[in-house]
Amino acid sequence: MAKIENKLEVFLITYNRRELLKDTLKKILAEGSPIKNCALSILDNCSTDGTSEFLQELLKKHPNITHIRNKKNIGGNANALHAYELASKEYTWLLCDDDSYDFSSWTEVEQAINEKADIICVSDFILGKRKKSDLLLQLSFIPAAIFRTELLSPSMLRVMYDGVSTMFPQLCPVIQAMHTGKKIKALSKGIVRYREETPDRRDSYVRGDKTEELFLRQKNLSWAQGFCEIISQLKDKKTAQDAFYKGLKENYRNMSSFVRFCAKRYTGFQQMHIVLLIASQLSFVNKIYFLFFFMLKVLQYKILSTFRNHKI
Amino acid sequence: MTLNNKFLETNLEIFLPTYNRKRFLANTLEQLTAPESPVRNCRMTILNNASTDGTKELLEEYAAKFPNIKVIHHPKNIGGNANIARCFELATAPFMWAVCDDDSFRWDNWHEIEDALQSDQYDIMLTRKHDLKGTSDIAKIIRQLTFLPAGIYRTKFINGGVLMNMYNSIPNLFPHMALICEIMNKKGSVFLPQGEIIADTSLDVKELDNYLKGTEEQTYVPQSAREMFWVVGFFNSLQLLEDEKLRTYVKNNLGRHGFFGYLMGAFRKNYTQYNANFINVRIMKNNMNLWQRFQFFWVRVFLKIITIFRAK
Repeated sequence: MAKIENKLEVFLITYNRRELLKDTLKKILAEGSPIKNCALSILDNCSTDGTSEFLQELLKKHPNITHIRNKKNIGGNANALHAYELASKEYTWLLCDDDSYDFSSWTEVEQAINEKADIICVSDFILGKRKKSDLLLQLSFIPAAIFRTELLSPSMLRVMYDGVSTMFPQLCPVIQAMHTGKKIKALSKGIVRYREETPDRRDSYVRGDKTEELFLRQKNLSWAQGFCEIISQLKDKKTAQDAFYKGLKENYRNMSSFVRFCAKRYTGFQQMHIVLLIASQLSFVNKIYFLFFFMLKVLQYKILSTFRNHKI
Repeated sequence: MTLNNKFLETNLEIFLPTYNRKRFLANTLEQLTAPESPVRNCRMTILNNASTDGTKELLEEYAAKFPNIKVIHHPKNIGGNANIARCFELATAPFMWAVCDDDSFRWDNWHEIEDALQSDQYDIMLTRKHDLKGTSDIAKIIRQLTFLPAGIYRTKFINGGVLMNMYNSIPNLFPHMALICEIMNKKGSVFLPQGEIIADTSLDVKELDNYLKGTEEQTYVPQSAREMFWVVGFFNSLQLLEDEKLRTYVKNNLGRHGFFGYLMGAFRKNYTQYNANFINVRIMKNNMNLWQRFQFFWVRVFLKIITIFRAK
């Protein structure tokens, strides 16, 4: 069996999270880690908290690491695409700086690589019954996917750069693979897991750290909007709807809290198209439920806010 | 003269994104490095978007001959607009000028620009006035600036937020509009020279098509990107202008015949490409006022009629 080092290239994107990064690198470079000898490129998005110095130290000990520092912060998604652009070996795995790892099912990955699977899904925390829709949702988590580099062709990269604004450009190759019937393999036991996340972290993940400078569209961007925009490209509508509904439950607990969320964020007439876009990704019953209660909630909030204004 | 050149060397940086246009590129580079060129000693960075027609060899040749030319070869083609965004990301000198690979220059008008650069008062310097039609209207200036080499920009304004906006507006075809809008928001000043530096470039129709959609056969392109054309992209980018009055003014004064006439002309020329895409049109309508929406509605009605007649 060929060595994994010759086939797999690992990338890691980071921004201003030195302690978490230290932790992650410790896990990846530990004795028992199967990828400790793989080529590892760390794409530092112009961090300002001393990440650079820490990495320079580390470089001396580990010759397989390269440190690429952007001249300016370009946002997490653009940084991820930069990694996919640099990929040259047969398989590419992009990691984030704040996840936990359990390499006990690594042999399955090697097996999948030998079988020439196109996408290997290495997480299973929202995989459920391993249907197509579950895979789509799980793969929206960046480190969950090991891509065959062939998939990340120049034309695919172009499409992905177009999709930066939806914050799920990593789903473009997945959708392409589903359209062309490529092999997507999921492990029996996941390797990468999400860490417990704090609410403020979630926000920065969605919109970067300087919200006041962004597009109106970008300011209001939510998980639902970005995900809907990208999966509306999937031809198999049923899968898209299933994946979106499942993700919706994952992110907003249930339908009614989602409706409340939308009614708060997408009130203006200008954002009507987003609401319609979201509705188009719901199944028929849910669509009617969503639109009806959305209108009710918007009215309710409008009336409440006028009352409040009157009191003042 | 030597003093002046020293000034330019440290203050102006030139970027040249290129892809598969060896013929034009040789001409452009020759003009940039000619003895009469005032910018021949400036730092030049050429971003080769993984060309396949021998551009690489040509560039290596130039890089060996001139120490101030630096060439960056992207491992994969990332699309023209992402390449433009990359230029702005890499800029470090106080001013930057991104030129295209098929321009021709008139250096005899350069002294004006140089004076403006030395006065350090201006944030954008126009190098082309073709679209201005003799006026100094802000709307026409912004329209002219959509042509990438038409502006020399102050790099102070390129911060993380602007870069994120640039990457996010890659599907809108004019990533540098993010910077222009930022400068307009910060009330930056524009220098309007007497003469032009960039001479007329005549893009033929086929070239224009490449410019919009890339040269490669694409297996998978999202619909919103496939049906994007430059009026829609331009209007989408304009939402970055904070001042609503200015936004409306710019939209109303783009052409000689007002909003209606401009849209009519622009859409008619592209009516074969233009297909009312749900998301694109909705987003475009977002930032219009009531009167503009009304006109836009009639533009679409007229175009429908024209399309039906042409089909017959």
